[in-house]
Amino acid sequence: MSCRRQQELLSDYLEETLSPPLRREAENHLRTCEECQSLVESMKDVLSLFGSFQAPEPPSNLTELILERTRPALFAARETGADLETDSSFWRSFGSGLAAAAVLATVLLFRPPEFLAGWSRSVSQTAHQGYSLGVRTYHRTSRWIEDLNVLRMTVGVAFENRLDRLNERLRDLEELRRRNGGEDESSQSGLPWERPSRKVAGPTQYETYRARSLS
Amino acid sequence: MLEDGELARRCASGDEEAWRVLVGRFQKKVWHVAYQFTGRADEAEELTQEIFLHLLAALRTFDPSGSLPAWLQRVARNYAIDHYRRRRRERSMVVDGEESEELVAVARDTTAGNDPHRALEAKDLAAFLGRVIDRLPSELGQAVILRDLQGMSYEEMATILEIPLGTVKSRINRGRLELAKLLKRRRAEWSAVLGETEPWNKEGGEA
Repeated sequence: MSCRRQQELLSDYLEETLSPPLRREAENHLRTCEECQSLVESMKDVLSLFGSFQAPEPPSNLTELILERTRPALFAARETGADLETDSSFWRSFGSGLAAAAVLATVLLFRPPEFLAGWSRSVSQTAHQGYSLGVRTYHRTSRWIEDLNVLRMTVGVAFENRLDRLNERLRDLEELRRRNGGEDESSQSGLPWERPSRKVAGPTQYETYRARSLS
Repeated sequence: MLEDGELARRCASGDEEAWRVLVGRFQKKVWHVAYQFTGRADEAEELTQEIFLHLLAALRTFDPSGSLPAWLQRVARNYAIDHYRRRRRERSMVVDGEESEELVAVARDTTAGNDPHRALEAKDLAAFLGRVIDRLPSELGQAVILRDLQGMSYEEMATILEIPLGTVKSRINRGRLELAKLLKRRRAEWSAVLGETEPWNKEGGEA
């Protein structure tokens, strides 16, 4: 057995998971190779140091630090959570979708960051369609306070660079669009700000971006 | 005592009392995960807070039929892995010189016994280990942390890192091998130093 092969098998050797023939080969090599024998000892020491490793006790004020840090998020969850709990899933999606669309529109209005530049156009369309859908539904309800609460929370989240949360909202928006796709395409509401759905073969830039960001 | 599913639901809807209970119940576990990935108390403290912030946002996705502790552990660990990768990218710009003081203390207490020679050596080796693990290629460092500090199985690691089992084993072995080689070299350096002086006998010595 070569030194290289021996070193490839070092963890298996120490964890005793080698097959008997390989183990015999490794032992034979170790008897004649001082370099590898010394590496075995060093790796044993490494494992021993890790094995004896213990994290120290957390600081005594850790609970308070955590509660302090999470207080704004907890407040936001309380403000929106109870209302959303009683809403139907449609309303939840609508609220999230509307908020995400509004945030995206805001971001794109003010000098979009470089990473947004590539897909800003399709996002604009997505935001616009989300907004149009929101406005149509808005005329059927007077529950705008709930929507504003969701918007407030999402804007807060966006300003904290919580893009993961934003992605969740975008997923909701996309799901909402898919669910309402038939209605969007078949019915002509005639609202002046509504544009026809974009029909492009293959993934949109937005979908490509999402796939990349989720991978 | 609140049942886990109810506790998670109440926390997700912003119930402060429930959240305090959850934090109290799981902060130590999360702290341990954070410490294992950072090796420093100040960074672990910050990371623990970030993890709880993330957990609060993620609680809506918790399936009440599952185990809350296992779910929390998984979410916390995934967040710590992401944090580790981000930090590694940032640290590639930072100069050497920081030591993991806590690793030093732990090693002194757990491996040295009463022998000053071994105490000095163990202290140095543990500090050294804490430094070099941070400078391993990130995929090797995280593999070693997950296996040797977190005690994860190869199969769990393959799932969480989304890589084949063979790659997991190979990364762990390569990471350990790098550490072993560096440790061996460090020992040789120490032997040379100890051959010339015995710092623990010197008046006003550093030790």
